[in-house]
Amino acid sequence: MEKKLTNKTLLFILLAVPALFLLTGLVRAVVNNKMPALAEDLTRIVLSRANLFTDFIELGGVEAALLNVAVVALFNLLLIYIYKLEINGFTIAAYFTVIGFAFFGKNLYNIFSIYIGGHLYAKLKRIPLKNVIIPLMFATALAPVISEISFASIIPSPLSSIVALLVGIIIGLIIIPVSSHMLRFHDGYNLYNIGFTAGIIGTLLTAFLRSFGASVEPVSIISDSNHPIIIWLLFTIFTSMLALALLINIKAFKEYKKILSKGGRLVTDFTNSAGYAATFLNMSVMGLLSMVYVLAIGGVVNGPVLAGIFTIAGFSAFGKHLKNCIPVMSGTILSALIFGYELSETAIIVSVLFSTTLAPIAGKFGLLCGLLAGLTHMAVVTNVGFIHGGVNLYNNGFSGGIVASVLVPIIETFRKGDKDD
Amino acid sequence: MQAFLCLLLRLSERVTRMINEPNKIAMILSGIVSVLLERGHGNIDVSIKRDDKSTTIIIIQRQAIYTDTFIEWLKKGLKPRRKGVVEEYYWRLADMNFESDNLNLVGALIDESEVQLKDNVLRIKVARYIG
Repeated sequence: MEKKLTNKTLLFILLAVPALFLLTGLVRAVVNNKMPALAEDLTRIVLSRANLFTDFIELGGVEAALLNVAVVALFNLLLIYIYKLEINGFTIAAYFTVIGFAFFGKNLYNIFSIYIGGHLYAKLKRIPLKNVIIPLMFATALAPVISEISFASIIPSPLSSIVALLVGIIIGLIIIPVSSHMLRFHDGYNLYNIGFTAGIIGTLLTAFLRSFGASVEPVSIISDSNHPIIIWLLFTIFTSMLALALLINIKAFKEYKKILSKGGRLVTDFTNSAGYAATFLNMSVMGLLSMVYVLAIGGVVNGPVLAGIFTIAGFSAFGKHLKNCIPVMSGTILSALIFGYELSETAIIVSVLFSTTLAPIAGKFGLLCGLLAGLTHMAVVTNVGFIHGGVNLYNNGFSGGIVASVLVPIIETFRKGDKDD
Repeated sequence: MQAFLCLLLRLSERVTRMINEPNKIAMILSGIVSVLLERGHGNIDVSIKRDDKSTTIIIIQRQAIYTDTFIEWLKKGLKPRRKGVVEEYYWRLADMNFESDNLNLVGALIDESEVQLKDNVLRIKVARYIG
Protein backbone atom coordinates (compact mmCIF):
# COMPACT_ATOMS: atom_id res chain seq x y z
CA MET A 1 0.00 0.00 0.00
CA GLU A 2 1.38 3.38 -1.01
CA LYS A 3 1.96 5.96 1.70
CA LYS A 4 -0.06 9.10 1.12
CA LEU A 5 2.09 12.05 0.18
CA THR A 6 0.90 15.59 0.82
CA ASN A 7 1.69 18.36 -1.61
CA LYS A 8 4.04 19.79 1.02
CA THR A 9 6.03 16.54 1.18
CA LEU A 10 6.23 16.44 -2.60
CA LEU A 11 7.47 20.04 -2.60
CA PHE A 12 10.28 19.06 -0.24
CA ILE A 13 11.17 16.15 -2.52
CA LEU A 14 11.40 18.52 -5.49
CA LEU A 15 13.36 21.01 -3.39
CA ALA A 16 16.06 18.40 -2.72
CA VAL A 17 17.48 18.68 -6.26
CA PRO A 18 18.24 22.45 -6.34
CA ALA A 19 19.30 22.30 -2.69
CA LEU A 20 21.85 19.64 -3.58
CA PHE A 21 23.11 21.69 -6.53
CA LEU A 22 23.30 24.90 -4.50
CA LEU A 23 25.20 23.25 -1.68
CA THR A 24 27.59 21.44 -4.02
CA GLY A 25 28.22 24.59 -6.06
CA LEU A 26 28.98 26.70 -2.99
CA VAL A 27 31.13 24.07 -1.23
CA ARG A 28 33.13 23.47 -4.40
CA ALA A 29 33.61 27.20 -4.92
CA VAL A 30 34.96 27.54 -1.37
CA VAL A 31 37.17 24.43 -1.55
CA ASN A 32 38.58 25.33 -4.97
CA ASN A 33 38.96 28.97 -3.99
CA LYS A 34 36.62 30.10 -6.74
CA MET A 35 34.36 32.29 -4.61
CA PRO A 36 35.91 35.57 -5.79
CA ALA A 37 35.34 34.63 -9.45
CA LEU A 38 31.89 33.14 -8.93
CA ALA A 39 29.94 36.35 -9.53
CA GLU A 40 31.93 36.96 -12.70
CA ASP A 41 31.27 33.40 -13.91
CA LEU A 42 27.55 33.76 -13.23
CA THR A 43 27.49 37.10 -15.05
CA ARG A 44 29.11 35.43 -18.06
CA ILE A 45 26.25 32.90 -18.09
CA VAL A 46 23.56 35.55 -17.79
CA LEU A 47 25.10 37.81 -20.45
CA SER A 48 25.59 34.99 -22.97
CA ARG A 49 23.48 34.66 -26.12
CA ALA A 50 22.43 31.29 -24.72
CA ASN A 51 21.33 29.76 -28.01
CA LEU A 52 22.01 26.17 -29.08
CA PHE A 53 24.55 24.90 -27.91
CA THR A 54 25.75 27.15 -25.11
CA ASP A 55 26.90 24.85 -22.35
CA PHE A 56 26.95 26.79 -19.09
CA ILE A 57 29.43 24.31 -17.60
CA GLU A 58 31.92 25.30 -20.29
CA LEU A 59 31.00 28.99 -20.20
CA GLY A 60 30.96 29.61 -16.46
CA GLY A 61 32.44 26.49 -14.89
CA VAL A 62 30.79 23.74 -12.86
CA GLU A 63 30.19 25.90 -9.77
CA ALA A 64 28.48 28.77 -11.59
CA ALA A 65 26.45 26.33 -13.71
CA LEU A 66 25.22 24.53 -10.58
CA LEU A 67 24.26 27.84 -8.98
CA ASN A 68 22.42 28.94 -12.12
CA VAL A 69 20.46 25.67 -12.13
CA ALA A 70 19.66 26.05 -8.43
CA VAL A 71 18.44 29.65 -8.87
CA VAL A 72 16.25 28.82 -11.89
CA ALA A 73 14.82 25.70 -10.21
CA LEU A 74 14.12 27.53 -6.94
CA PHE A 75 12.34 30.33 -8.80
CA ASN A 76 10.06 27.82 -10.52
CA LEU A 77 9.53 25.88 -7.31
CA LEU A 78 8.55 29.13 -5.61
CA LEU A 79 5.87 29.64 -8.25
CA ILE A 80 4.63 26.09 -7.72
CA TYR A 81 4.47 26.78 -3.98
CA ILE A 82 2.88 30.25 -4.14
CA TYR A 83 0.19 29.24 -6.60
CA LYS A 84 -0.43 25.92 -4.83
CA LEU A 85 -0.01 23.85 -7.96
CA GLU A 86 -0.78 20.18 -7.71
CA ILE A 87 2.42 18.19 -8.04
CA ASN A 88 1.50 15.62 -10.66
CA GLY A 89 3.23 14.16 -13.71
CA PHE A 90 2.78 17.34 -15.74
CA THR A 91 4.36 19.48 -13.01
CA ILE A 92 7.26 17.06 -12.47
CA ALA A 93 7.97 16.91 -16.22
CA ALA A 94 8.05 20.71 -16.51
CA TYR A 95 10.17 21.16 -13.38
CA PHE A 96 12.83 18.62 -14.40
CA THR A 97 12.92 19.99 -17.95
CA VAL A 98 13.60 23.47 -16.59
CA ILE A 99 16.33 22.08 -14.32
CA GLY A 100 17.99 20.32 -17.24
CA PHE A 101 17.87 23.31 -19.54
CA ALA A 102 19.30 25.62 -16.88
CA PHE A 103 22.57 23.80 -17.64
CA PHE A 104 22.41 25.14 -21.16
CA GLY A 105 20.29 28.05 -22.24
CA LYS A 106 18.02 29.16 -19.41
CA ASN A 107 18.80 31.70 -16.74
CA LEU A 108 16.69 33.98 -14.60
CA TYR A 109 17.23 36.96 -16.92
CA ASN A 110 16.04 35.29 -20.09
CA ILE A 111 13.05 33.39 -18.65
CA PHE A 112 11.53 36.10 -16.47
CA SER A 113 9.77 38.17 -19.16
CA ILE A 114 8.07 35.04 -20.54
CA TYR A 115 6.36 34.59 -17.15
CA ILE A 116 5.29 38.26 -17.23
CA GLY A 117 3.71 37.62 -20.64
CA GLY A 118 1.95 34.56 -19.23
CA HIS A 119 0.68 36.62 -16.31
CA LEU A 120 -0.74 39.13 -18.78
CA TYR A 121 -2.36 36.30 -20.76
CA ALA A 122 -4.05 34.98 -17.61
CA LYS A 123 -5.27 38.48 -16.73
CA LEU A 124 -6.69 39.07 -20.20
CA LYS A 125 -8.37 35.67 -20.29
CA ARG A 126 -9.58 36.13 -16.71
CA ILE A 127 -8.22 32.77 -15.65
CA PRO A 128 -6.06 32.04 -12.61
CA LEU A 129 -2.33 32.28 -13.28
CA LYS A 130 -1.91 28.81 -11.76
CA ASN A 131 -3.63 27.39 -14.86
CA VAL A 132 -0.82 28.53 -17.11
CA ILE A 133 2.34 28.28 -15.01
CA ILE A 134 3.29 24.78 -16.14
CA PRO A 135 2.95 25.53 -19.89
CA LEU A 136 4.95 28.71 -19.21
CA MET A 137 7.73 26.66 -17.63
CA PHE A 138 7.96 24.75 -20.90
CA ALA A 139 7.64 27.97 -22.91
CA THR A 140 10.99 29.14 -21.60
CA ALA A 141 12.35 27.05 -24.48
CA LEU A 142 12.45 30.38 -26.32
CA ALA A 143 14.56 32.06 -23.64
CA PRO A 144 17.55 32.41 -26.01
CA VAL A 145 15.49 34.83 -28.13
CA ILE A 146 15.61 37.26 -25.21
CA SER A 147 19.36 36.77 -24.75
CA GLU A 148 19.98 37.00 -28.49
CA ILE A 149 18.17 40.35 -28.79
CA SER A 150 19.77 41.67 -25.60
CA PHE A 151 23.38 40.72 -26.20
CA ALA A 152 23.97 40.01 -29.90
CA SER A 153 24.44 43.71 -30.82
CA ILE A 154 21.48 43.66 -33.21
CA ILE A 155 19.96 46.71 -31.47
CA PRO A 156 22.01 49.27 -29.54
CA SER A 157 22.03 48.94 -25.76
CA PRO A 158 20.04 49.71 -23.56
CA LEU A 159 17.21 49.71 -26.13
CA SER A 160 18.07 46.07 -26.84
CA SER A 161 17.11 45.03 -23.31
CA ILE A 162 13.75 46.83 -23.56
CA VAL A 163 12.98 45.22 -26.93
CA ALA A 164 14.06 41.82 -25.55
CA LEU A 165 11.77 42.27 -22.56
CA LEU A 166 8.85 43.12 -24.85
CA VAL A 167 9.54 40.14 -27.08
CA GLY A 168 9.66 37.87 -24.01
CA ILE A 169 6.31 39.25 -22.87
CA ILE A 170 4.81 38.66 -26.33
CA ILE A 171 6.12 35.08 -26.30
CA GLY A 172 4.49 34.47 -22.91
CA LEU A 173 1.29 36.06 -24.15
CA ILE A 174 0.89 33.97 -27.29
CA ILE A 175 2.55 30.64 -26.64
CA ILE A 176 -0.23 28.96 -24.67
CA PRO A 177 -3.06 29.34 -27.22
CA VAL A 178 -0.67 28.61 -30.09
CA SER A 179 0.84 25.50 -28.50
CA SER A 180 -2.55 24.22 -27.38
CA HIS A 181 -3.67 24.49 -31.00
CA MET A 182 -0.51 22.73 -32.24
CA LEU A 183 -1.47 19.60 -30.29
CA ARG A 184 -3.78 18.64 -33.13
CA PHE A 185 -0.88 18.73 -35.56
CA HIS A 186 0.65 15.59 -34.06
CA ASP A 187 -2.36 14.41 -32.00
CA GLY A 188 -0.31 14.16 -28.81
CA TYR A 189 2.34 11.79 -30.20
CA ASN A 190 5.10 14.38 -29.70
CA LEU A 191 5.62 14.78 -25.96
CA TYR A 192 7.55 18.05 -26.29
CA ASN A 193 4.61 19.91 -27.81
CA ILE A 194 5.90 23.32 -26.75
CA GLY A 195 9.20 22.43 -28.40
CA PHE A 196 7.33 22.09 -31.65
CA THR A 197 5.46 25.36 -31.08
CA ALA A 198 8.65 27.12 -30.02
CA GLY A 199 10.28 25.88 -33.22
CA ILE A 200 7.54 27.49 -35.30
CA ILE A 201 7.57 30.77 -33.32
CA GLY A 202 11.38 30.74 -33.21
CA THR A 203 11.48 30.35 -36.99
CA LEU A 204 9.23 33.41 -37.37
CA LEU A 205 11.27 35.50 -34.93
CA THR A 206 14.57 34.44 -36.50
CA ALA A 207 13.21 35.31 -39.93
CA PHE A 208 12.43 38.82 -38.64
CA LEU A 209 15.85 39.18 -37.01
CA ARG A 210 17.58 37.99 -40.17
CA SER A 211 15.49 40.44 -42.21
CA PHE A 212 17.06 43.20 -40.09
CA GLY A 213 20.45 41.90 -41.14
CA ALA A 214 21.20 40.04 -37.91
CA SER A 215 23.15 36.83 -38.07
CA VAL A 216 21.29 34.29 -35.93
CA GLU A 217 23.22 31.04 -36.06
CA PRO A 218 23.61 28.08 -33.72
CA VAL A 219 26.86 28.12 -31.74
CA SER A 220 29.00 25.40 -30.23
CA ILE A 221 30.30 26.18 -26.77
CA ILE A 222 30.45 22.70 -25.29
CA SER A 223 32.41 21.18 -22.45
CA ASP A 224 34.44 18.27 -23.83
CA SER A 225 35.52 16.61 -20.61
CA ASN A 226 33.59 14.81 -17.93
CA HIS A 227 33.32 16.29 -14.44
CA PRO A 228 33.15 13.46 -11.88
CA ILE A 229 31.14 15.64 -9.47
CA ILE A 230 28.34 16.00 -12.05
CA ILE A 231 28.20 12.25 -12.58
CA TRP A 232 28.13 11.65 -8.82
CA LEU A 233 25.34 14.18 -8.42
CA LEU A 234 23.29 12.45 -11.10
CA PHE A 235 23.94 9.06 -9.55
CA THR A 236 22.93 10.37 -6.12
CA ILE A 237 19.70 11.92 -7.42
CA PHE A 238 18.54 8.86 -9.34
CA THR A 239 19.49 6.27 -6.70
CA SER A 240 17.78 8.44 -4.07
CA MET A 241 14.66 8.35 -6.20
CA LEU A 242 14.81 4.57 -6.20
CA ALA A 243 15.15 4.52 -2.41
CA LEU A 244 12.33 7.05 -2.11
CA ALA A 245 10.07 4.91 -4.31
CA LEU A 246 10.62 1.88 -2.09
CA LEU A 247 10.14 3.98 1.03
CA ILE A 248 6.77 5.19 -0.22
CA ASN A 249 5.69 1.75 -1.35
CA ILE A 250 7.74 -1.38 -0.83
CA LYS A 251 5.74 -2.96 -3.68
CA ALA A 252 6.64 -0.19 -6.11
CA PHE A 253 7.90 -2.71 -8.68
CA LYS A 254 4.45 -4.29 -8.80
CA GLU A 255 2.85 -0.92 -9.57
CA TYR A 256 5.61 -0.27 -12.09
CA LYS A 257 3.97 -2.81 -14.41
CA LYS A 258 1.04 -0.40 -14.75
CA ILE A 259 3.40 2.22 -16.14
CA LEU A 260 4.91 -0.21 -18.65
CA SER A 261 1.43 -1.03 -19.94
CA LYS A 262 0.75 2.58 -20.97
CA GLY A 263 1.33 3.88 -24.48
CA GLY A 264 2.43 7.25 -23.17
CA ARG A 265 0.56 9.57 -25.50
CA LEU A 266 -0.38 13.00 -24.17
CA VAL A 267 -1.88 13.15 -21.53
CA THR A 268 -0.55 10.17 -19.55
CA ASP A 269 0.10 11.11 -15.96
CA PHE A 270 1.80 8.22 -14.18
CA THR A 271 1.28 9.76 -10.73
CA ASN A 272 -2.44 9.44 -11.39
CA SER A 273 -2.50 5.98 -12.93
CA ALA A 274 0.28 4.20 -11.00
CA GLY A 275 1.04 6.34 -7.96
CA TYR A 276 4.10 8.30 -6.85
CA ALA A 277 6.22 5.29 -5.84
CA ALA A 278 6.06 3.69 -9.29
CA THR A 279 6.57 7.10 -10.89
CA PHE A 280 9.74 7.84 -8.90
CA LEU A 281 10.92 4.31 -9.67
CA ASN A 282 10.37 4.90 -13.38
CA MET A 283 12.19 8.24 -13.19
CA SER A 284 15.08 6.57 -11.44
CA VAL A 285 15.31 3.73 -13.98
CA MET A 286 15.11 6.09 -16.97
CA GLY A 287 17.57 8.58 -15.48
CA LEU A 288 20.12 5.89 -14.70
CA LEU A 289 19.64 4.24 -18.09
CA SER A 290 20.28 7.54 -19.87
CA MET A 291 23.36 8.23 -17.78
CA VAL A 292 24.77 4.73 -18.31
CA TYR A 293 24.14 5.00 -22.07
CA VAL A 294 26.09 8.27 -22.32
CA LEU A 295 29.02 6.95 -20.29
CA ALA A 296 29.02 3.57 -22.09
CA ILE A 297 29.49 5.13 -25.52
CA GLY A 298 32.25 7.38 -24.19
CA GLY A 299 30.17 10.57 -24.21
CA VAL A 300 30.60 13.63 -22.04
CA VAL A 301 27.96 14.52 -19.45
CA ASN A 302 27.94 18.26 -20.24
CA GLY A 303 25.16 20.87 -20.22
CA PRO A 304 23.18 19.71 -23.26
CA VAL A 305 23.47 16.06 -22.21
CA LEU A 306 22.33 16.93 -18.68
CA ALA A 307 19.31 18.66 -20.21
CA GLY A 308 18.56 15.45 -22.09
CA ILE A 309 18.93 13.25 -19.01
CA PHE A 310 16.80 15.49 -16.77
CA THR A 311 14.12 15.86 -19.42
CA ILE A 312 13.89 12.08 -19.82
CA ALA A 313 13.67 11.70 -16.03
CA GLY A 314 10.98 14.39 -15.82
CA PHE A 315 8.88 12.97 -18.62
CA SER A 316 9.15 9.56 -16.98
CA ALA A 317 6.35 10.92 -14.82
CA PHE A 318 4.40 11.93 -17.89
CA GLY A 319 4.54 9.32 -20.64
CA LYS A 320 8.01 7.83 -20.98
CA HIS A 321 9.15 4.40 -19.84
CA LEU A 322 11.56 1.67 -20.89
CA LYS A 323 9.19 -0.05 -23.29
CA ASN A 324 8.28 3.01 -25.34
CA CYS A 325 11.65 4.76 -25.22
CA ILE A 326 14.09 2.00 -26.13
CA PRO A 327 12.67 1.34 -29.65
CA VAL A 328 12.85 5.05 -30.55
CA MET A 329 16.33 5.48 -29.10
CA SER A 330 17.47 2.35 -30.95
CA GLY A 331 16.10 3.74 -34.22
CA THR A 332 17.97 7.01 -33.67
CA ILE A 333 21.21 5.18 -32.84
CA LEU A 334 20.81 2.99 -35.93
CA SER A 335 20.17 6.06 -38.04
CA ALA A 336 23.29 7.79 -36.65
CA LEU A 337 25.37 4.73 -37.54
CA ILE A 338 23.92 4.60 -41.08
CA PHE A 339 24.65 8.30 -41.63
CA GLY A 340 28.16 7.84 -40.27
CA TYR A 341 27.83 10.05 -37.19
CA GLU A 342 30.02 9.56 -34.16
CA LEU A 343 27.76 8.28 -31.35
CA SER A 344 29.82 9.97 -28.65
CA GLU A 345 29.40 13.46 -30.18
CA THR A 346 27.31 15.71 -27.95
CA ALA A 347 24.87 16.67 -30.73
CA ILE A 348 24.22 13.00 -31.49
CA ILE A 349 23.88 11.99 -27.83
CA VAL A 350 21.39 14.79 -27.35
CA SER A 351 19.41 13.70 -30.41
CA VAL A 352 19.28 10.12 -29.11
CA LEU A 353 18.13 11.19 -25.64
CA PHE A 354 15.55 13.70 -26.85
CA SER A 355 14.25 11.40 -29.59
CA THR A 356 12.18 9.90 -26.77
CA THR A 357 9.78 12.77 -27.42
CA LEU A 358 8.37 10.25 -29.94
CA ALA A 359 8.05 7.46 -27.36
CA PRO A 360 4.22 7.40 -27.69
CA ILE A 361 4.58 6.18 -31.27
CA ALA A 362 6.40 3.07 -30.03
CA GLY A 363 3.98 2.81 -27.12
CA LYS A 364 0.95 2.88 -29.34
CA PHE A 365 2.08 1.24 -32.60
CA GLY A 366 4.87 -1.06 -31.43
CA LEU A 367 8.56 -1.72 -31.80
CA LEU A 368 8.93 -1.34 -35.59
CA CYS A 369 7.07 1.96 -35.73
CA GLY A 370 9.19 3.18 -32.83
CA LEU A 371 12.34 2.25 -34.71
CA LEU A 372 11.05 4.03 -37.82
CA ALA A 373 10.24 7.13 -35.78
CA GLY A 374 13.76 7.15 -34.34
CA LEU A 375 15.34 6.66 -37.77
CA THR A 376 13.36 9.55 -39.23
CA HIS A 377 13.94 11.78 -36.22
CA MET A 378 17.72 11.69 -36.57
CA ALA A 379 17.53 12.78 -40.21
CA VAL A 380 15.17 15.65 -39.40
CA VAL A 381 16.67 16.93 -36.16
CA THR A 382 20.13 17.38 -37.62
CA ASN A 383 18.68 19.64 -40.30
CA VAL A 384 16.12 21.87 -38.61
CA GLY A 385 18.31 23.77 -36.13
CA PHE A 386 19.39 26.26 -38.80
CA ILE A 387 15.80 27.30 -39.55
CA HIS A 388 15.33 28.89 -36.14
CA GLY A 389 18.99 29.72 -35.68
CA GLY A 390 19.20 27.81 -32.42
CA VAL A 391 16.83 30.11 -30.51
CA ASN A 392 14.52 27.18 -29.72
CA LEU A 393 16.18 25.10 -27.04
CA TYR A 394 13.77 22.21 -27.65
CA ASN A 395 14.98 21.58 -31.18
CA ASN A 396 14.14 17.89 -30.83
CA GLY A 397 10.56 18.79 -29.92
CA PHE A 398 10.36 20.79 -33.14
CA SER A 399 11.69 17.85 -35.12
CA GLY A 400 9.49 15.41 -33.17
CA GLY A 401 6.38 17.39 -34.12
CA ILE A 402 7.30 17.23 -37.80
CA VAL A 403 8.09 13.50 -37.66
CA ALA A 404 4.95 12.57 -35.68
CA SER A 405 2.64 14.61 -37.87
CA VAL A 406 3.88 12.79 -40.98
CA LEU A 407 4.38 9.29 -39.59
CA VAL A 408 1.26 8.90 -37.46
CA PRO A 409 -1.32 9.38 -40.26
CA ILE A 410 0.66 6.99 -42.47
CA ILE A 411 0.87 4.35 -39.76
CA GLU A 412 -2.80 4.77 -38.88
CA THR A 413 -3.85 4.52 -42.51
CA PHE A 414 -2.07 1.22 -42.99
CA ARG A 415 -3.34 -0.12 -39.69
CA LYS A 416 -6.89 0.82 -40.60
CA GLY A 417 -6.37 -0.76 -44.02
CA ASP A 418 -5.40 -3.99 -42.31
CA LYS A 419 -8.49 -3.85 -40.16
CA ASP A 420 -10.82 -3.22 -43.10
CA ASP A 421 -9.52 -6.23 -44.96
CA MET B 1 -5.49 54.37 -27.48
CA GLN B 2 -5.30 52.36 -24.24
CA ALA B 3 -9.09 52.17 -24.01
CA PHE B 4 -9.30 50.99 -27.61
CA LEU B 5 -6.69 48.29 -26.93
CA CYS B 6 -8.58 47.16 -23.83
CA LEU B 7 -11.82 47.00 -25.79
CA LEU B 8 -10.14 45.01 -28.54
CA LEU B 9 -8.67 42.53 -26.05
CA ARG B 10 -11.98 42.11 -24.21
CA LEU B 11 -13.70 41.50 -27.54
CA SER B 12 -11.14 38.90 -28.56
CA GLU B 13 -11.50 37.23 -25.16
CA ARG B 14 -15.28 37.08 -25.56
CA VAL B 15 -14.96 35.68 -29.09
CA THR B 16 -12.43 33.06 -27.91
CA ARG B 17 -14.75 32.02 -25.08
CA MET B 18 -17.71 31.89 -27.44
CA ILE B 19 -15.80 29.66 -29.82
CA ASN B 20 -14.04 27.50 -27.23
CA GLU B 21 -17.01 26.65 -25.01
CA PRO B 22 -19.12 24.92 -27.72
CA ASN B 23 -15.94 23.25 -28.96
CA LYS B 24 -15.24 21.88 -25.50
CA ILE B 25 -18.80 20.52 -25.28
CA ALA B 26 -18.31 18.90 -28.69
CA MET B 27 -15.01 17.41 -27.49
CA ILE B 28 -16.67 15.91 -24.40
CA LEU B 29 -19.42 14.39 -26.52
CA SER B 30 -17.04 13.13 -29.17
CA GLY B 31 -14.73 11.71 -26.51
CA ILE B 32 -17.46 9.61 -24.93
CA VAL B 33 -19.22 8.57 -28.13
CA SER B 34 -15.96 7.52 -29.79
CA VAL B 35 -15.29 5.14 -26.88
CA LEU B 36 -18.72 3.55 -27.33
CA LEU B 37 -18.32 3.29 -31.09
CA GLU B 38 -14.83 1.81 -30.66
CA ARG B 39 -16.51 -1.06 -28.86
CA GLY B 40 -18.51 -1.75 -31.99
CA HIS B 41 -21.94 -0.76 -30.69
CA GLY B 42 -24.44 1.65 -32.22
CA ASN B 43 -27.94 2.59 -31.02
CA ILE B 44 -26.78 5.77 -29.38
CA ASP B 45 -29.11 8.69 -28.62
CA VAL B 46 -27.70 12.00 -27.50
CA SER B 47 -29.41 14.92 -25.82
CA ILE B 48 -27.73 18.23 -25.02
CA LYS B 49 -29.34 20.86 -22.81
CA ARG B 50 -27.85 24.26 -22.18
CA ASP B 51 -28.82 27.05 -19.82
CA ASP B 52 -27.03 30.02 -18.27
CA LYS B 53 -25.31 27.91 -15.64
CA SER B 54 -24.37 24.66 -17.30
CA THR B 55 -24.49 22.29 -20.23
CA THR B 56 -25.80 18.78 -19.67
CA ILE B 57 -25.18 15.89 -22.03
CA ILE B 58 -27.19 12.68 -21.77
CA ILE B 59 -26.08 9.70 -23.82
CA ILE B 60 -28.29 6.63 -23.97
CA GLN B 61 -27.20 3.43 -25.64
CA ARG B 62 -29.64 0.57 -26.02
CA GLN B 63 -28.67 -3.07 -26.43
CA ALA B 64 -25.50 -2.25 -24.59
CA ILE B 65 -23.66 -5.36 -23.49
CA TYR B 66 -20.65 -4.37 -21.47
CA THR B 67 -18.58 -6.03 -18.77
CA ASP B 68 -18.47 -4.66 -15.23
CA THR B 69 -14.78 -3.89 -15.79
CA PHE B 70 -15.62 -1.62 -18.73
CA ILE B 71 -18.32 0.18 -16.75
CA GLU B 72 -15.89 0.70 -13.87
CA TRP B 73 -13.31 1.99 -16.33
CA LEU B 74 -15.87 4.42 -17.77
CA LYS B 75 -16.80 5.63 -14.30
CA LYS B 76 -13.15 6.11 -13.38
CA GLY B 77 -12.36 7.95 -16.62
CA LEU B 78 -15.40 10.19 -16.34
CA LYS B 79 -14.85 11.02 -12.69
CA PRO B 80 -15.19 14.81 -12.62
CA ARG B 81 -11.87 16.45 -11.90
CA ARG B 82 -12.01 19.74 -13.68
CA LYS B 83 -8.41 20.84 -13.52
CA GLY B 84 -7.67 24.28 -14.83
CA VAL B 85 -4.15 23.39 -15.93
CA VAL B 86 -5.13 20.40 -18.03
CA GLU B 87 -8.30 22.02 -19.36
CA GLU B 88 -6.55 25.20 -20.39
CA TYR B 89 -3.88 23.45 -22.35
CA TYR B 90 -4.85 19.92 -23.42
CA TRP B 91 -8.59 20.13 -24.06
CA ARG B 92 -8.12 19.81 -27.81
CA LEU B 93 -7.05 16.18 -27.33
CA ALA B 94 -10.15 15.22 -25.33
CA ASP B 95 -11.93 13.58 -28.25
CA MET B 96 -9.08 11.15 -28.92
CA ASN B 97 -9.80 8.27 -26.61
CA PHE B 98 -8.02 5.54 -28.43
CA GLU B 99 -5.92 5.09 -25.36
CA SER B 100 -7.52 4.50 -22.00
CA ASP B 101 -5.82 7.35 -20.18
CA ASN B 102 -7.25 9.96 -22.49
CA LEU B 103 -10.77 9.52 -21.19
CA ASN B 104 -9.31 11.28 -18.17
CA LEU B 105 -9.17 14.38 -20.34
CA VAL B 106 -12.94 14.28 -20.65
CA GLY B 107 -13.04 13.97 -16.87
CA ALA B 108 -10.89 17.10 -16.68
CA LEU B 109 -13.55 19.04 -18.61
CA ILE B 110 -16.65 18.11 -16.61
CA ASP B 111 -18.13 18.92 -13.20
CA GLU B 112 -20.68 16.10 -12.83
CA SER B 113 -21.00 12.58 -14.17
CA GLU B 114 -23.23 9.53 -13.84
CA VAL B 115 -22.70 6.18 -15.52
CA GLN B 116 -25.38 3.52 -15.21
CA LEU B 117 -25.96 0.18 -16.95
CA LYS B 118 -29.38 -1.33 -16.32
CA ASP B 119 -31.26 -3.92 -18.41
CA ASN B 120 -28.73 -3.53 -21.24
CA VAL B 121 -29.34 0.23 -21.41
CA LEU B 122 -26.30 2.37 -20.79
CA ARG B 123 -27.02 5.90 -19.55
CA ILE B 124 -24.24 8.43 -19.27
CA LYS B 125 -24.96 11.90 -17.95
CA VAL B 126 -22.27 14.56 -17.74
CA ALA B 127 -22.52 18.25 -16.92
CA ARG B 128 -20.15 21.14 -17.37
CA TYR B 129 -20.70 24.36 -15.47
CA ILE B 130 -20.22 27.64 -17.26
CA GLY B 131 -17.62 30.05 -15.96
